[in-house]
Amino acid sequence: MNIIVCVKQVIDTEHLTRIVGERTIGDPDLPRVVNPCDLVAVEEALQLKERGIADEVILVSVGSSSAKDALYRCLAMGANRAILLCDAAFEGSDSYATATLLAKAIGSLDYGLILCGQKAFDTKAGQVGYYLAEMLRIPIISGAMKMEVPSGEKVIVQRKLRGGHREVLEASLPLLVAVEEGLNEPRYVSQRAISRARSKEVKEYDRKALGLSPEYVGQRGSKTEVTSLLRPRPKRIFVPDLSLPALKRLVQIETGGFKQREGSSLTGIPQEVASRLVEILLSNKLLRI
Amino acid sequence: MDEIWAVLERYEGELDDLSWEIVAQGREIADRLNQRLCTVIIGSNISSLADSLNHRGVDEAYLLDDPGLGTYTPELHAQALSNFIQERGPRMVLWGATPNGSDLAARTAAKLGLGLVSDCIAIEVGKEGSLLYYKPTHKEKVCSTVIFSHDRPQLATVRPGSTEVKDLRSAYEIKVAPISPKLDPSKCAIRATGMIRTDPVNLLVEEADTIVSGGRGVGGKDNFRLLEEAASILGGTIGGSRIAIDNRWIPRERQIGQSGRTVKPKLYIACGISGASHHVMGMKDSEFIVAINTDPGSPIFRLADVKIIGDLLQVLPAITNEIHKQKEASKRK
Repeated sequence: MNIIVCVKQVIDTEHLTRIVGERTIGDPDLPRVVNPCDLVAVEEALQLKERGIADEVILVSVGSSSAKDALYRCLAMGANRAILLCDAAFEGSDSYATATLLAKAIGSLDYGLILCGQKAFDTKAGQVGYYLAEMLRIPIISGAMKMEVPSGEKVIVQRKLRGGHREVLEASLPLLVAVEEGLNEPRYVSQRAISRARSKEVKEYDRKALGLSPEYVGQRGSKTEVTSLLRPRPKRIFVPDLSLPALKRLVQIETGGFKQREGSSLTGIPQEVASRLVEILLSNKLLRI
Repeated sequence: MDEIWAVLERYEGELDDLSWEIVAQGREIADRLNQRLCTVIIGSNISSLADSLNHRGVDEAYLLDDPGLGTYTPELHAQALSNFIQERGPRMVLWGATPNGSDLAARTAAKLGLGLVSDCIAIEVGKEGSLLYYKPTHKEKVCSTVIFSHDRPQLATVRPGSTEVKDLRSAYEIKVAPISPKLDPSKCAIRATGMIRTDPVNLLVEEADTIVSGGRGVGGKDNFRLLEEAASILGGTIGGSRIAIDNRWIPRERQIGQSGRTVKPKLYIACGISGASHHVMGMKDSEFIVAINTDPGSPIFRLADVKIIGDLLQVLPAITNEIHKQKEASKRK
């Protein structure tokens, strides 16, 4: 059985200080990283391969040619091969159009399990997996905090619920599982290993190679459209933290910083302080007796 | 008349608290567009739930009632809802952006081949009734405006806490419409085999509603027991600043801050934490912050809603005791 892992390259938001484009964050110099929960998906696939449950781990990504760096990193972790779906016509794709591309590429591959991250770090939509599963006509389980593939035929997943509870779900292969951060700790790879992985081939497909007509890709193939990007509304009063270095301070100003609160002070003997705090917690519904 | 739908979740047999936020958001849009607000509740034996929605600004409650829908069965719920959407064709369908709400919304969108905007913080009615959806992206640093390329139905999930709950009480009588959903269990591939309930103390810090967090001022591993006791009675878990992790007072996955986890609990109690910026970056968006510290000049006090200048070794047990006492007293009543 082969495992397919969907990987997205995202902007490292740590370094995001300004919005350049009208609709996209166009600064080409921003550092990019592999979407954190996609790394978790790659790690999980590799562990299944190392346990002899999976044969090959195949990466598929949609992105610009810079996304190859993300794929090299995952190849360095131990993935077997990688496919990049790359075409200027894909720009403006929403979750639906992205899933259309992935489904077209994955549909011709031999696989038992597809893994993807629960959410992309940048858009946080968490939808591609659902569309993809529907297009490939396979079931999907999302929010995986733990997974087991006991027999190589079925998968048992602990799905994240509110309040830290878990629901145990079970399904036969083929199946798509969307994984949460926390499922595992992705392995470390050195820069040397990544450089070595650059000799591996990343297969590139454009729209024509995928055999998709123009109305199915990019903005035309999308169900939603981002029309503008705004700064978050400045709703907070704050003072930049002067102990920070200049760049960090700038980031803090740009992102709204933190709310400086006019808190009430409680003083007195511990018992008095405690009973007043409990009163405050109760009135703010932060505590239920 | 066109309809705006709010899909409400159940929590332990009752309507979830978040329902009122979605109803408020839906009512506002429905009024602007001059449309009806209808709620959809999915479950088994749920006719009593519609009563709590009466006189609350909801025009009609659709109850998708079937014995197979008692607990959240992802595929069956999606079947019931998407069939019903297809049949009635509402203008908009809203869910709360909870784990189950988001799952059901995404399944429904995929099944119907429709777009979905997830985790909205605001929805605006623009020119000629066009709808604009606002959602934070790029780790809250950007707010994206999203529109649909199709007119209807437009699907969206709403972030908990983004809408103010208004008192929508009105004399208006709700209409209740029990619906027998069309279901085909043979098409379900996923089997639910059990639930695992987590003791709040063992929660991951990212998932906890309440965190009692400790720093240098805690002084040692043994003293963390006091934090654990307070967390336990508050129904929360413990966390710490880097010093607490470097000294191995608590495990690494409980580190809160720039090099650790970023948390946004409802209640954050910072004990003996001075408030260095790398810690603050990981907890500044907590809804309510209580700081306990002996040093009145600690930077942590700048972001505290309640400042307690005192020794945590005395204050914390007093808090635990006080809550314990009140719980005992209410039990006796």
